[in-house]
Amino acid sequence: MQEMPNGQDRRLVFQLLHHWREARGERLFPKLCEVYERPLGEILVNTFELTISEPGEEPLFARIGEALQAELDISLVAQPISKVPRTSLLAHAVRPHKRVLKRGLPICIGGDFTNASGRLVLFRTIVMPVSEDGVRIAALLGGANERICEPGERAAVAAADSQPT
Amino acid sequence: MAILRAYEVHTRENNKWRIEAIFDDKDVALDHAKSLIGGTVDTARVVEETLDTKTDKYISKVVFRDTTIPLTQKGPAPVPASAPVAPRKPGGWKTRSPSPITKRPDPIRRVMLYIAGFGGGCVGLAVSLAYFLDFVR
Repeated sequence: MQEMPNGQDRRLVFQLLHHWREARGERLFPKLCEVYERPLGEILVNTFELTISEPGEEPLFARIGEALQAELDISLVAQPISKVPRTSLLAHAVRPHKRVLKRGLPICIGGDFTNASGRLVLFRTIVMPVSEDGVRIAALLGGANERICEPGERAAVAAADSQPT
Repeated sequence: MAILRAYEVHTRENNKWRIEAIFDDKDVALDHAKSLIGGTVDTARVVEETLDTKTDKYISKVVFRDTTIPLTQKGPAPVPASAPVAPRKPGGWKTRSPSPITKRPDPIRRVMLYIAGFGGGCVGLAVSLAYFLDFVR
């Protein structure tokens, strides 16, 4: 996977994870409100929140940051994640959510996708569990950002992806 | 055959290990692990978890480890007094009352005891023999 320039993707992921970790303390999970009380600053626009109504049911969006909403034609608040267009960053940002629910740990992944304009986009996302009672995961807090590849970079990314793992 | 790889960042704080987060990229995991060392976190490590989907086998390997504990310190870090002690599993152990501690006599006393015992045995044997001979006569 092609690395994003100057570690910009890492900054957002690390900042968000740092705030989550500081709010968590020695517990398993922090409360969502405790994370929001932290000085998130400009990274807030790149974050989203998913509520877990019942175990096994599809999570619903409780909040979508402006930077992630900008790609969408309609508001997806209170909608399930299956409604998100596959050509948007948000669709890929929520990808780790099942593993996060299973492991109860923040999970950070990166990758690439083709957006609605046919451009190759590199992204990095992190999804983190939050709780109200410290035992059951009540919601997921995530953050993601992206970089659109220049035309010459597309071949390099394709070549990197074709390397055997 | 597909190989799935993930990198877990572990930290030790107040003598307790915990998994902080999971990454799909080794460099990102290493950066995060290094940023956590210090303060109350004395040790951080990155564990590479590899899953072979064909065999369904997991392989774990520590690919990074760093600690603030000096190398000269031997043995495990001392457990703080406030650390909770894990409760013993009920019925999981057979208990027996400890055996009384007996003090072994010193060697000289032991030899004298042997001699006394041997001597007493000889005397008893002589007396028995005397009665027997008297009876026979």
